[in-house]
Amino acid sequence: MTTDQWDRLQELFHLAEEAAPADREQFLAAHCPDQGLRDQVLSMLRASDRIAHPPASKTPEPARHIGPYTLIRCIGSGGMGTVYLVERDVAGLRQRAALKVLAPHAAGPSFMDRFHREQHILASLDHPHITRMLDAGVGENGQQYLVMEFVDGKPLDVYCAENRLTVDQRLRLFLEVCAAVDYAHRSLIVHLDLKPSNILVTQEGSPKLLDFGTSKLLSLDGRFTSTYSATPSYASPEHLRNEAVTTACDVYSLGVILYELLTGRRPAGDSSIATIIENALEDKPAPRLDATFPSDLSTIVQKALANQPQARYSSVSALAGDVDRYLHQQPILARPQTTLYWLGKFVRRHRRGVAVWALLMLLLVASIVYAFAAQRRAAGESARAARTQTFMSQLFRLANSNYAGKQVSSLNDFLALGLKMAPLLAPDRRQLSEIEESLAVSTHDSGNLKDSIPAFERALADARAAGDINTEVESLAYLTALYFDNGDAARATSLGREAVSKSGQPGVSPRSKAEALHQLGYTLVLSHQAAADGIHLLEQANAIADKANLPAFDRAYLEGTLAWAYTTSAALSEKDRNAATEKAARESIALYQSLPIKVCQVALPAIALARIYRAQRRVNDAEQLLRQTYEQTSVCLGAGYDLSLSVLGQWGYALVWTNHAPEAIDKLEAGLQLARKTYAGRNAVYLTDILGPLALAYEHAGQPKRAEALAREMLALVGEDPNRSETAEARRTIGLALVAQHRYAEALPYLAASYDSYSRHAPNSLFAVGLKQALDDTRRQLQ
Amino acid sequence: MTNDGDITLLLRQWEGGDPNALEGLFALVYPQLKQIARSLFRGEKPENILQPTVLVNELYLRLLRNQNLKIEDRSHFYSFAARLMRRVLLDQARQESRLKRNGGLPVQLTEDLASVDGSSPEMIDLDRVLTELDQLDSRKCRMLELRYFLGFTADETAELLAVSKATVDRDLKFARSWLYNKLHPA
Repeated sequence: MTTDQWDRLQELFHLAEEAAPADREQFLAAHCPDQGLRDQVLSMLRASDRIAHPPASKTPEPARHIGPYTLIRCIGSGGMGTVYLVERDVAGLRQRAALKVLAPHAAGPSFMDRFHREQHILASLDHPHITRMLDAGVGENGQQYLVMEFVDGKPLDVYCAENRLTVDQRLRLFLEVCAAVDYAHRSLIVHLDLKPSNILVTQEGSPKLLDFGTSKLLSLDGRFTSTYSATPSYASPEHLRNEAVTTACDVYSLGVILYELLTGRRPAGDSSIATIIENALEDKPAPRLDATFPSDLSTIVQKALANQPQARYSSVSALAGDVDRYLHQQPILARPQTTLYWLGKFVRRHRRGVAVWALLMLLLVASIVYAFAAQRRAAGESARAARTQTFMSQLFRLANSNYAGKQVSSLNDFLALGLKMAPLLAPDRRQLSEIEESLAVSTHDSGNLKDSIPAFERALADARAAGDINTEVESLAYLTALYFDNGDAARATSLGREAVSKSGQPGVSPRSKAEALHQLGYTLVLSHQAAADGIHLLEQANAIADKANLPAFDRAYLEGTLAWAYTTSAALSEKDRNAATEKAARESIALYQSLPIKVCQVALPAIALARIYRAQRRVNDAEQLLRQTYEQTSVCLGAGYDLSLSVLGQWGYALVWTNHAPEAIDKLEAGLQLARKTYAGRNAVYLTDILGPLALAYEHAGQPKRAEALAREMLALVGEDPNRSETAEARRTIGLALVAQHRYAEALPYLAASYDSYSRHAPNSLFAVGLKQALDDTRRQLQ
Repeated sequence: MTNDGDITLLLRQWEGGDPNALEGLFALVYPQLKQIARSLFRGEKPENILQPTVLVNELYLRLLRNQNLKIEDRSHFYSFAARLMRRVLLDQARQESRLKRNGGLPVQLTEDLASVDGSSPEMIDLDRVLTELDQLDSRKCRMLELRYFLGFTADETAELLAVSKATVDRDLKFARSWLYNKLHPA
């Protein structure tokens, strides 16, 4: 054939191919005068069709019987032999089974060896997910056969696809497969050809492992080399490299199966064997799932598919363990242990627990991640941040592993465990005090005030002993807040002053310094001792925080306190006070909103902002803001916590202003019961947060007697101090309640004293205006 | 000891159309191949000597991996390796056909044929027809070798031969039909 003829042949072939089969002969007759060439093209086109649609291959008809078995049909043939569905009469019952015979071409001694090995291996395995061997024998023509349990099922991948199994269902099925492979491994057998077509799933959904024809008995050191090449798409790189193979090969194959079950394709895609082997030689990084899968699943798959066997899961049970942990939302082991990771898992695992859990964890995130990592790093203390994170990771692991002997089901358990473990996990005294302090902060932030005092005292003592000035100042600052909240204002003030005086020393981070100023300032404002000094200290704390560019969480917190403090300021004019409050409150809220998590402390600036709204007569805005804040805070902290009660009280006022007194009474009565428990034995004065609005609500609702009783309780708690807004408020409610009972003479002194206070501090407020009116009316009644 | 530089040079010469270079390559590589086969099968019966990809990749690894090969060299190497496999299979078939008559299955030329049953005496026929094809159209022969003896996909074959996938599909369809027609005359 000449080159011209060859080219002509190709041209005609491709042209005729385009034509409909029936038209081809006519087409060729029109375009080619050469009969020989035409016939060749037609013949080639027929060949092309046969290649595209090969006739069903004619397997030689087997004998109808092998041994005592009647052959029903061929159910598969592989490199080694053919498997038939067979039947046998056993005591009048028809028993079905799968019978495997060696292919005629595979009759060499090594194939016989392998056949016998499979027989031997199968006979030694007894597991619900491995096909059982029933019989073995030699047929009439000397043909060896193996009889196995017949599994009427679908290949694993087909089963999953046809039944549209969810990811979780697929993982559970996968775990059953792992159990079977693990069992084989413990019997010193590696399968070496795990793939979906070797795993059948019955109609009941039970997987069965087939075909141990390629499997190997492990030698005692667990390694051997395999000369038999498994299906390359599922074979481990070391298997393809013809290196020693171990149980890690099956781990890899299971990884491929898992990848395929999850994504519908194999990691190698449609690459040829040559490319797969080339990749195996190249030590490529393990493939990962795309980002639509949870990162834990991706990590599991990646670890199972590591190119180097030592980087893989050390056993099938380790792989299965992680899949199981993933299903139970527990931390998998195949992951770098970052604090956030363990926190995330801890929260998820307990997501059905009480709502308070979410808060506790959020606070832990806030306190650990922000207050310890970010701020330490900001303060150049990255080493400490790392140490604390490491400890917290260890602790979360312990907590998750039930190491303590019982389930760690509350933050208190967790922190108690931490305090118990701290001396064991901290290498020196300085680190110990750091860790103790971080645990104490978490205890405090979780609302467990009772246990946090001893925790901080311990941290303080260890910090002093270790000469850790920073931890000392910080512990002092927290203790200031704690003693004050516990009703010991004198102790609080003295600790606060010590903290501030020591905060100037070298080695104290800007954050600790700001914290010391903040806690003393807050205490002074709250205790009405030296409110102006207190506000000044809070302003200093904010300035330091801004200058040091502390993390947003810290700045939001400090601004929020300041906003709240401004509302109490007697030194500023009403206009300046409102302006300063609003500015600080808005800045604080904006900073909180910039955080990736919701933080309970947002209540403080929200309350301050609501006061501004009220002063601006925007009562509906105030009510809405406070309602939202209360919902968030009570879920976040729990309804019985100080801050929640305080927000509830503020919301109660707003409900009254917006003419919802009955709703206010409903909420506040419940709140009062909680508050009596919360403040029992400590700062009872905080009861005024609820008493004030509740008395007002009753007064509005036309129940003056109840209003009077509550307001008198409030007045007794706050004392006769004309500069305290609570005193003025209590007097006002008593006065109005007395007026409603027509006890005008008794009412007059209360109304007069109250009006005096309001007209000095907030002359334009609703209260002041209303009081003026009430006072005039009362005077008129008395005349 | 094989000189790796010689191999690269001979590969280029063969690709450049020098048929003598191919014989030089066989002479250089055959001892290596035997050695690899021996180490792969560690004294066991070499029942899988026809697992060509394992052999070829091992060969690639040993001969060329550390030479910062250019893509053309890699392509040349695989073209050569496919030819090498064809020869190994042919030798195997010749040996087998001396041992037994009328065994094995005829050469199948299905769409996704990834390897050839080299124990088949039909391999001898296949080799003869391929030689004829090589003289008529060496690129198509090269394609068939890559697809059938090394199991490269159409995409990979296209990449190795620096042609489009459509060209590979079209050429293979023609070549396969031609081959089938030669092997199974109606």
